[in-house]
Amino acid sequence: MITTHGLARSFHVDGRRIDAVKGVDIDVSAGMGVTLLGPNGAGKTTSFRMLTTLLRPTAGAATVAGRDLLTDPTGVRRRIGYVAQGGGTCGEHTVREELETQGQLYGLSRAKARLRSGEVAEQLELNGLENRLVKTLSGGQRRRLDVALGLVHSPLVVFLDEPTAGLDPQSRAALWKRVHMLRAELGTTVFVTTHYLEEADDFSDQVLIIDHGKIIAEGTPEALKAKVAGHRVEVTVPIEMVQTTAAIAARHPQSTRPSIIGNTVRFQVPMGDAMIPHMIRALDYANIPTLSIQVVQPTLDDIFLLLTGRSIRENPST
Amino acid sequence: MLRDAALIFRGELILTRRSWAPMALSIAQPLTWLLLFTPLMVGLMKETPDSPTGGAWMVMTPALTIYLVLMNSAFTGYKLLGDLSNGVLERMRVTPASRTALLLGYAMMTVVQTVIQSMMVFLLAWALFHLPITFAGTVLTLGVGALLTFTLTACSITLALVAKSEPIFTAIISTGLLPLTLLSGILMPITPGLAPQWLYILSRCNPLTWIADLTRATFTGNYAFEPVVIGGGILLAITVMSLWWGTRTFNREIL
Repeated sequence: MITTHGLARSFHVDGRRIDAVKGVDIDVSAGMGVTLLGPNGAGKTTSFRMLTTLLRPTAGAATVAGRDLLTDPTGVRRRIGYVAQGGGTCGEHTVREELETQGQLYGLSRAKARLRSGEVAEQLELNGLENRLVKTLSGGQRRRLDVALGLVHSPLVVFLDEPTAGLDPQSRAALWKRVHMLRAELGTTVFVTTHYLEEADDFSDQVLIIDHGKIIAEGTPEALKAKVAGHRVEVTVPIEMVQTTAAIAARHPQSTRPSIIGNTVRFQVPMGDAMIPHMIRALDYANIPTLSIQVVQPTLDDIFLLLTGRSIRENPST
Repeated sequence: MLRDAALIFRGELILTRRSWAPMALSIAQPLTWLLLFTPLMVGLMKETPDSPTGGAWMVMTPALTIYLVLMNSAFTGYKLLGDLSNGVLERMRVTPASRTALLLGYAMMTVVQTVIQSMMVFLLAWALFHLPITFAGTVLTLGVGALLTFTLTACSITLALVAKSEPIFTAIISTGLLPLTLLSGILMPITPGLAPQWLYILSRCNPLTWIADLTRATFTGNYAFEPVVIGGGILLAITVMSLWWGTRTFNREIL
């Protein structure tokens, strides 16, 4: 659905050349939920603006929704939806006016635009607000309207740039729930940028981690975390048995980096779930009563930390 | 393309309907010129060598169309700067709507506004001062006004898009508008007998002077070669040029 080869973009600011995106290769299949994750200034928005025809790449090629980005930008525009980070609504228009006009700008007939406006308003819980002026909506409602505007023409791919930035946790959860449902119902490919790690983790079939304009890791959240950091297993035992437990853990050929904190033994393994039965059997054999044993999933931030030595959270997006 | 332009125009129309006070008030300015300035011109023109024919009211009334055109179109750029900062323009630029349609849509509202206001000025001048206005003259003058509004609005919007910042745009407009207005001779016709030669030549270099002459010619039904053919030619030429410039700028990326 989206394929890019060496997509790059540089800007000239005050005579200096800034390479915002330095050769990005992306391959996104139809119907997937993909997240572009990275700290502020990593090149997320620039990548999005290139893929949505707003910026011309300085190098590389791309196909979006089956159309060539460089030779057929109008074809791309017809097939995609884009929700910018700051939205794009006029406060003095009503919700219905915005939705219907947007639908018609995408070539829908008046009747069809009206029908679709009703549908997306329903899907994004905006029903009942159709005749309200946009300026009277709450932040969450306005953001849902932004998303609705990106979907009114039933695009094959929708690009959501920081869809939940600035929303309270409840509105964020509600918005994601809706986006999940839309993907399930319509099979729309959803490409998002976010700096909320938990959201990226929950939402994505595929995560692309971007830093300094380059994709530094990609895969499913699980594979990514397993590949880069594996799992952390934490075994809690009575305090007098903690050393023995640590020795047992260290004997396992796949365990690395064992450490003891209080009466808990921690170590890294490639696949935590597969390790648990072995561990329980070994502890039983040694007559150690296990108080608890758990596999701790590394977060996406752990991966970023491992790859770059920095945390994504050090640079919260504004 | 026309459908897309009409959609954007409809949006603008809704906005104007919701807050019509500024538009209603903007009619006050040309009326002020008509009522407070034209009586002065009557006396002045008697003393002025080779002033235009037809008397002060017939000179001033059509020229106010140009004045309205200038005021309305110059400031349309602000509307675009607003849409640029709130993201509406970007949202539209991701739709398949043609770039020319975006330009047309924005310009159409200003055209309608100018035509309505000009008509009110004409009607008032006719009702109060019994100007010998003809139907053909009115329609032609309004047509010239509409085309010029479209052209200058396109320029203003494009200029706003190039400037991208309100202070820069304001500086350009406020610096450019006054000399353009004065040199066009819409308030006080610039004739060889009245103005020094350099000023006269300068005013002849201003395309608006020719178009102001064109409106006076159409308004009075004096279809002489110079104002009609040359003025009309200049009007068409700047219309085509502004459309080309605007579409080209809208097509380029906006950072």
